[in-house]
Amino acid sequence: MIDSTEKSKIPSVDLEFCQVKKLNELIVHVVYVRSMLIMPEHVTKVYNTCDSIMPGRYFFMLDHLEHVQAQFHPKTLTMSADVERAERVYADAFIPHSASLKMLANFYLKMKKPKVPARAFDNVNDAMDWFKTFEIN
Amino acid sequence: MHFERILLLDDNETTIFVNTDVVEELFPNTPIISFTSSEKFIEEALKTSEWFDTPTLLLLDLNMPVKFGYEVLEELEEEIPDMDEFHVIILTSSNLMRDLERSSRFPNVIGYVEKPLTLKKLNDRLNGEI
Repeated sequence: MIDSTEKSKIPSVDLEFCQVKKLNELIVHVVYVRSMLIMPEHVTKVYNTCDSIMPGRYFFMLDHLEHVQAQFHPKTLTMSADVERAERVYADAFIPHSASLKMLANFYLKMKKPKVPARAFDNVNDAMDWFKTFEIN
Repeated sequence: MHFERILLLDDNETTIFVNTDVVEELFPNTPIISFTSSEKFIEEALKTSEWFDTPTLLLLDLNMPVKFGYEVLEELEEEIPDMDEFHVIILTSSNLMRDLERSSRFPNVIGYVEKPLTLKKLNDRLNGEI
């Protein structure tokens, strides 16, 4: 079980298109702040930032797309679904806001079949509850 | 991307005719089954479990006279517990966000296309472009 109430003192890292924040010792919160086409190199930047704030640790990723109409390039979806992520990430939760992003999340989950457990949620609380169902060492 | 079959549901026969051409071009060896009645489609779906057990794509018209596309999905969701291999692309001439929002809550809906359907639009959606 995880404790999502334990707050981190580490500040967030601002990239040009998103904010990456260590929410607690187990969760990284990625908030997309700009409408744009997200390419594989953008996601690589996010992963590298996660590595820097969670050095050598497994973590949960909370991808928040509530305020933007971000688009993901197909190559980005393929890369995100790849097995390499399973080496560092327990699970991915998406909070898509718009209808088109919900459908894109469905596409990712059903067609790309990501190696890391992933689900889309309507709100952050439901995502947090899902994270708590994972038994971690 | 491989589908065992592609289903078309649209109340307009001309649209079915045109969309069949587009689908055949993208999936030349895949069986295409078309319906102009949502009731007949649901009746057939409920007795054809392979539609939900093996990769199947449904191109679903949103605005139909008897049932809206999302009402068809609601009925399927109530009757069929596991639709993991059933994928839906919504076809719509309406860009009403309310209708799209209602359709997007179904996990089987992987995209939408504004009519008319073209090869490029279908190909883009099947590659995850929105």
